[in-house]
Amino acid sequence: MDDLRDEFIAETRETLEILSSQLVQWEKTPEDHGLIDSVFRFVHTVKGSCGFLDLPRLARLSHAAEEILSVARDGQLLPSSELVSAVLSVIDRIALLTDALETGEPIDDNDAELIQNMLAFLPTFDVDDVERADYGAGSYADLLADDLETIVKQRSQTVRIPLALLDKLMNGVSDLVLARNEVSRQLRRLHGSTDTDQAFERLSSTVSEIRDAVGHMRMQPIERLFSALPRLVRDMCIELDKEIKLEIDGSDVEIDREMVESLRDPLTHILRNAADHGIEQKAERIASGKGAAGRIFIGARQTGNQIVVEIRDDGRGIDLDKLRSRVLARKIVTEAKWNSLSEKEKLELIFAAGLSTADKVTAVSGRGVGMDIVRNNVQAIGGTIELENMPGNGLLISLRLPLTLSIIPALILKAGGGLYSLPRSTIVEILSASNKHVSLEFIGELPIANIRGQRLSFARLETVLQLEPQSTKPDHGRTVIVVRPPSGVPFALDVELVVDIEELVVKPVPPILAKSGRYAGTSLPDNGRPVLLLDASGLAEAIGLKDSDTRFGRQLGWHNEADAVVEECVESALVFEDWDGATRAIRLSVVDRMEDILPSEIHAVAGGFCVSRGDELSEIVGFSGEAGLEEIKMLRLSDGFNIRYLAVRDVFDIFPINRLSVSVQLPDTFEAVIECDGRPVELLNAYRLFENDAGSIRNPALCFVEADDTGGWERTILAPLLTASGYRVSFDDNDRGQADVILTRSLELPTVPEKTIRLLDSATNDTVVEGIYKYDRNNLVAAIETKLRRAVS
Amino acid sequence: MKQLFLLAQIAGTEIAIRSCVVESVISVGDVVEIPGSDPTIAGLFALRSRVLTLIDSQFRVTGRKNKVPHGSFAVMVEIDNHIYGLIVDRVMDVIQIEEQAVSQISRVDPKWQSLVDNVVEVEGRVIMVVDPASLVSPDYSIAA
Repeated sequence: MDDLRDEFIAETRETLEILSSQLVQWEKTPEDHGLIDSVFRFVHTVKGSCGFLDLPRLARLSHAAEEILSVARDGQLLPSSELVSAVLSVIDRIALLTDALETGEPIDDNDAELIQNMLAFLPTFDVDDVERADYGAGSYADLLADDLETIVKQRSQTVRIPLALLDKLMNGVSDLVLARNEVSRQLRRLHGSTDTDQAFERLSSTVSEIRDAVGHMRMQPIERLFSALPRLVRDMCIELDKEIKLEIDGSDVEIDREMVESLRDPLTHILRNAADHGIEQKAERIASGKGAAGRIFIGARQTGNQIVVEIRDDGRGIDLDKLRSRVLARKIVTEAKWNSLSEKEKLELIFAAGLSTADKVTAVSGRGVGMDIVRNNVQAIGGTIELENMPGNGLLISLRLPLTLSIIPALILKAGGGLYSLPRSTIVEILSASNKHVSLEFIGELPIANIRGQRLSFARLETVLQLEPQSTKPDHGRTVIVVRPPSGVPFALDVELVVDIEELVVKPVPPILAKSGRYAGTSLPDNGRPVLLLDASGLAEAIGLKDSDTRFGRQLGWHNEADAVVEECVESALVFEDWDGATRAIRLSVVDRMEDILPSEIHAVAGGFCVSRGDELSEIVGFSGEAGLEEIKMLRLSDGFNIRYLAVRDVFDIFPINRLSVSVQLPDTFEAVIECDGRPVELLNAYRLFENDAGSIRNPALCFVEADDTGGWERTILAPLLTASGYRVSFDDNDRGQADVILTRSLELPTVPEKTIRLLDSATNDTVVEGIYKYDRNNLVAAIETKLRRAVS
Repeated sequence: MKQLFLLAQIAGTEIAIRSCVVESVISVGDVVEIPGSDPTIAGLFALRSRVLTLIDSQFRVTGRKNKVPHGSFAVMVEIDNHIYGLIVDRVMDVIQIEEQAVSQISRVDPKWQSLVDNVVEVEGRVIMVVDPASLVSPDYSIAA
């Protein structure tokens, strides 16, 4: 019985939250029909579930709400603050009754009044209608008893599972994945039959699907938490007579199901504080040169092994003088102690129990129970809370939450004979230690890496992990990783080797291991040997980068300046050996990562090649197809939306883009020629790599080339140029009629002059006929284009 | 009422662990070392898909760090959602003991003080009952 009731309650509560936020949206943008449609659907769903479960009182309320929304949906009713408030109060009542179902406490109140208030907005409102429709009759206590009884009789569509069982399932699936990997290794060694391979492939993809599904069972988008906030802010605006614009970002970030519940109260508290204490009254804002409307920003993002939830407001911030008098008045610290504290420590005092800096106790906040409880709740789930005060300009509160049981892409590194992993999101760049752009300088004894003029703290991973004493030189053959902790300045970490990149399921480390601060979690990669996930912030601390340094340079605006600095870095290019053996470069910004692709993952399709990985099928560029049995290195390129793979023989290094003034003959293929280690290297035109599809779509023009049967020059020299320029080429006389352009070296008068281009063997135009010199590429292409345009017009 | 106890040996001394907290006894193979960690930690070990933190149990008694030999036995316990493997010299037996045979002790060898809460009498011998939680973290230690 409890299970069924809980399910109904949880479902309704979730629906109501989304509903409130949508309703508030609709109030702001009445012209958005999509919103009112969606609100209507939600109410309808609630009404449906109530009716289905035969809960008469809840059904009556939702039916009334549905009625008024249906009129609004038809455009006969425009949203006003009063109307939305009336509807919200009915929804609140539904929520209250739902809660009551859980607690069993009766709420003795008359719903009829609420319903009447709401229905009064109907253009055809008539009190008699309400009475006839029997909206509010009956005593609540009886009805609640009815409601409770009927729930028991119903069955539901979802199943509630104890977390322990879910964990057991997850462990089982992880075992399954490891076993699959082991079988895969065995199969590869045995060279089994194709049938076996195919059967295994099917098994393998099914296992992957199950793993994904199980992983998602635990996670929920943080939207579930955020969807209640617009309503909260709206109500506070009315109550406090303020205007506040709420911006929400990162709703799709997924967090652990359990964490959603633990965060609800702290987030509500912080938001209330921001709206009440932070944001000033309109007049005060205007006087201090701000817009009349206050801004509150709530954002969530995943950085490495943490979820960061930030709440910023552009209000008055924390007034330290005011805080001082409060703290002293409440005898939280002595005056002498206060004077000895740093600014940061002073701010921390707002977390002290029984403190409130608001001048007056308002209905919404300021009862002095707030921030201490917020901090306790956040710490209880292993998170931390940080403040950044901008007096007069607002307050930034960051909640850093652990990412239990989530999958993150991580780099596997080797150092001192052991393997470690580092979240990919903390990595800015990976360079070879022998790269000439990396040099080591010393400030006293302290090594500083100079990477393309950017000076960074330098440390060997072995030293940080206390595997060996401080080393002074980066050895050649080692790798330098530029790491940027979730909050703070980047530093250079020298490791033996970067082994691989893998998606890791990270589990928290036990408390005894967490003490060292260097490790954020443990994980089991596909090889079945445990690996420790390094904590980038912990490493920074171990190197001696203090917290105050990490704050340094951070601006007080709405954007994190630290991010901008890195983006400003010189553009760089990755230099590699192309599939045809030539040394080429590609802009680093389009390179996602390097992957080893098995020949079995490459498919020849439609005259090209594709890589299939998981559900993804991506085109390979620059690949001729003669794959051996070995894995092939490929650069995974991304323009942020499309994926292409570029087959390479080897990858050398990263260089800043330093253009040489060499004219580029094939601007379609190469963007520029750049200097790398004193040699000129072609920089691939990234646009062209992604553009490929377009070629087939626009149906390229057909060029008929007149040539005799041998036709050596036309076939070997002219045709490749035309193809490379995006035209189709034909030597077949049958195509002459339908060709868009005819190219000839014949000096005879053309039969179709408007389509024909004559090519001349000599650059000096000493013949009487008109034509283009056959090696004048630019004019030739221009002439073809001119003919094509004429043909169209 | 009878209770199950696992009899094992740590630092050459016979001890008992309440079997209700023990998940299983495993043989440890390839250990991944953790540099810079608490000396009580012997490393990480993967038991199928689960990663165990190995505890060098004898270190808490002797104060000397030992390398974990291949094939060592570990008692697998789960404490606060983390799984640990307590390295023991060897595992002797699982026995049923009457609750009355378990008693408080007033004085323990100082080396064992933080790990032991009770003693049991087995076939005329008095054996210390080691609390696994106090082994995995000083925070849980009995003396504290």
